[in-house]
Amino acid sequence: MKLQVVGCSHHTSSVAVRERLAFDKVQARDALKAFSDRFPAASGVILSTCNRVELYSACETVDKAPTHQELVDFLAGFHGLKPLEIFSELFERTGEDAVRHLFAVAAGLDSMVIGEAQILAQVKQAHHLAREVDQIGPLDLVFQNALRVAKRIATETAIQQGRLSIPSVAVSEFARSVFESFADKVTLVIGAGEMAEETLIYLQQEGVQDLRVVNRNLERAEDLAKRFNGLACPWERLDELLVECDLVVTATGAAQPIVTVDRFRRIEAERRERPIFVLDLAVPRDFEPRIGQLQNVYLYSIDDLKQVCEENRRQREKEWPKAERILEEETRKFVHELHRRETGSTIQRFKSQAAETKQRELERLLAKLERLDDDAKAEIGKAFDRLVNKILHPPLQSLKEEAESGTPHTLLAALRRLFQIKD
Amino acid sequence: MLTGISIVCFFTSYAVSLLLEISRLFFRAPVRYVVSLGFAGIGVLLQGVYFANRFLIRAGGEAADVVPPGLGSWYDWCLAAAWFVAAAYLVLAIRDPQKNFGLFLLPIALLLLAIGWAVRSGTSFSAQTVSWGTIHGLMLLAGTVVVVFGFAAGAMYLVQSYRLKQGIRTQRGLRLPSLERLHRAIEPTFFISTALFGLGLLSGMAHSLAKYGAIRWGDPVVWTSSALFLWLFAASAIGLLYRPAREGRKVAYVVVASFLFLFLEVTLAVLSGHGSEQPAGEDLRSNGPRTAASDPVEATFDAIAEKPR
Repeated sequence: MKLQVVGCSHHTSSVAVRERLAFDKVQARDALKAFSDRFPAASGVILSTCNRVELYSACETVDKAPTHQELVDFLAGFHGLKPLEIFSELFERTGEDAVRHLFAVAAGLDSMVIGEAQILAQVKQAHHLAREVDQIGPLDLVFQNALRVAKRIATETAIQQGRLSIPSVAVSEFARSVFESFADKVTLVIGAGEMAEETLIYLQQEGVQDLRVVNRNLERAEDLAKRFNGLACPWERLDELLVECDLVVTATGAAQPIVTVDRFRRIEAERRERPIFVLDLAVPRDFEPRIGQLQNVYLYSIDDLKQVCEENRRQREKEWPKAERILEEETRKFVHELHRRETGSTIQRFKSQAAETKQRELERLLAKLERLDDDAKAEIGKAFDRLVNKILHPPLQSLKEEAESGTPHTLLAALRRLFQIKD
Repeated sequence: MLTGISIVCFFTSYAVSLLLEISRLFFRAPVRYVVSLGFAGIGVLLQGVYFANRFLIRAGGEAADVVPPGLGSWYDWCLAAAWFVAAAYLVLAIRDPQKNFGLFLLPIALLLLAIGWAVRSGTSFSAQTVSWGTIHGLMLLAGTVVVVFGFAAGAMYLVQSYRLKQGIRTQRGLRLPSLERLHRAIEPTFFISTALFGLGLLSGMAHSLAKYGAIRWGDPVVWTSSALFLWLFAASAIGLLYRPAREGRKVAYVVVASFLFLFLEVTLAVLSGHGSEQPAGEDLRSNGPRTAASDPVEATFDAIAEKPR
C-alpha cells in the first residue's frame, strides 16, 4: 500500500497560502468526489483547519497510486491555481512518516498551541466526511488509529492540560472554582472590545445565559449583546448592574480605573456580601486592585492570568518527550501491523494457490492408484503436504524477514509475478 | 461472623486511603483512585461488620440485660460517628472522583477512631435507661456527624477561597468543589444540627429527670452542650434573619467554630464519663463502676478472641 500526505501547515506556509488552499465542508465533499474520479484506485481524506490543509491518500497498488506531483496538481487545480504557485509551499510525507505525521496532528503535537484538543475533533470530522462519500478505503484504519493514539497521549500525559489563552485560563482555572454553574448567574460585560468577546465565547461554552453588556457607546454594546443573545444597557446603569451581577468581565480602554474602592464599597453593601467574580482584562486596569482585598470579591487582572498561562505552557513542554515516546511507539507498532497485513494477504493467496494445486494433483494420482489401501493413501497425502510446505517455506521466510523493515514491495511483486498470484 | 476484625483493621484501611489521597497532591497515577477507594470501602465494610458483631452480641448474648443495644459506650459512639464520616467520604469520592474530599473527611474519621480507642476501657452506658438515653445518644451522634460535615465543607471553603484570593491554581494538585457548591453544603448543616442538638438536649434532660430526679447542671457536659446548642441556634437564627451573615467566608468561619465547640464538648463528655453508669466522682444509684475487664461485651469479645480456631 502506498500511503502519502501532501499539504501545508503553519510550519511551512503563510496564512495567505493556507487561505487559498482551504476547503469548507461542501468543497471538501466535492474535492473527494473529484479525487475519486481522477484516482479510482486510491482513497483520500481532506483535513482543512485554520492552521493546515492536508490531503491524505492511500492506494493498495503502488503503481496505481497518485504521485506527489499529481496530488499537487489536484490541489492546485481544485482551487484554480497553478501547481507551480504552491509547489514549494507544500510538504510531502510518505509511508511511516505519513503515519507519524497524522498521529502527531491528531494528538495536537503538530499544532500551533501544543496539545490543543480542538484538532482531534477536526480530524474526526475529516474522517467522517471521507466515510460519508465512501472515499475512506484503507485510510480508515490509519485514521482510527490516529484517534486512538491521540486519546492515549491525552490520557497518559498532561500535554492537553492547562489552558493557554488568558480568557480560557480565567474561566477554567478560576471562575469554575467559584461557581458550580453559570446558567443561573448574571454576567456583566463592561466594554465591547475583542478581549471581552473572546472571553464571552468561553463563558457561553460554560453555560452563561443571562448576559448584560454595558459600554460608553451603546451601539457597540448592542452589537455585542446581539451576537451573544445578551442585553445591552446604558453606561449610567453600571452601579445597578454591578449589584445584580455575579460575574464581571471588564475590558474597556479607560485611562483611569472606572470602579474605585470607595465606589465598590457602596455597591458591596447593596450586594449583601454575595460573592462576585471580576475578570479585569483591561490595561490599565478598570477595577482598583484593592477591591480584590474585600472579603467576597475574587478579582483577577491580566498579569495574574498571564503567569498561569506561562506555567501551563512550560508544563506542556515538559510533557513533550513523554508524548513523543508514545507517538514513536504507536507509529512503529502500526506500521509493522500494516506491513504484516499487506504481506499477509499475498501469503494467504500464495498458500491457498499451492494447496489447490496440491489437491488437484493428489486427487489425480489417487484416482490412478485405486488398489492402494487407506493408510497408503493417507501417507501419500502427508508426503504431498510436506513437499508443498518445504517448497513454500524459503520464499515465505524471506518475505517475513523483509516485512520487518517495511513493505517488501519488490519481493511481493516478484512473488505475484513468478507464481502468477491473482487478487 | 468475621470475629477477628479489630479497630486496627479499619483504622489502617482509612489511613492508607488518606495517604493515597495525600499523594494525589504530588503526582499522577491512574490506578490510585481505585486503590484508595478500595481501601476506604474495605474499611467501611469491616467497621460495619465489627459494629454488627458488637450489636448482635449485646442484643442476644449474655450482655443483653446489662448494656443497651447500639451505642453501648463512648467507644461505640466514636466508632459509629467515624463510620458515618468514612461512609460519607466513600459516597462523595464515588460521585466526584476528581475532588480531594478524603483530605478533609478521613482525618476526622481517624481522629474519632483514635478517641474511641483511647476510651475503649471506659465504663458502658447505663442499661436501665434505654429509651431516653438511647434517643439522647443517637441525636447527639447525628448532630455530631452533621457538624463534622459542615466543618469539612467549611474548611474546604476557606482553603478554596484562600487559593482563589491568592491566584493559586485550583485545577492542579488539591482539587476542591466550587465555592458555590460548598456554600450549598454548609448552609443546611446549621439548621439540621441545631434541630438534632436541640432534641439531644431535651432527651438528655428527660433522661436525667427520669434517672436522678433532677437536671444535673453541675455536669460540665450539660452546660457545654447547652452552650453549643445556643451557639448553633443563634447562628441559624441570625443567618435566617440577616442574609449577609450566611454569605461567603463568614458562614465557613461559623461552621469551623461550631466544630471546635463540638470537639470541646465531646472531649469533656468522654473524659468525664458522661452517660456512663457511674461517672467519675459521683455517687449514683448504679451498682458501681464497670471497667473493661468486667464489661460483659468486652469479656465476650475477649472470649471469642481467645477461642482456638
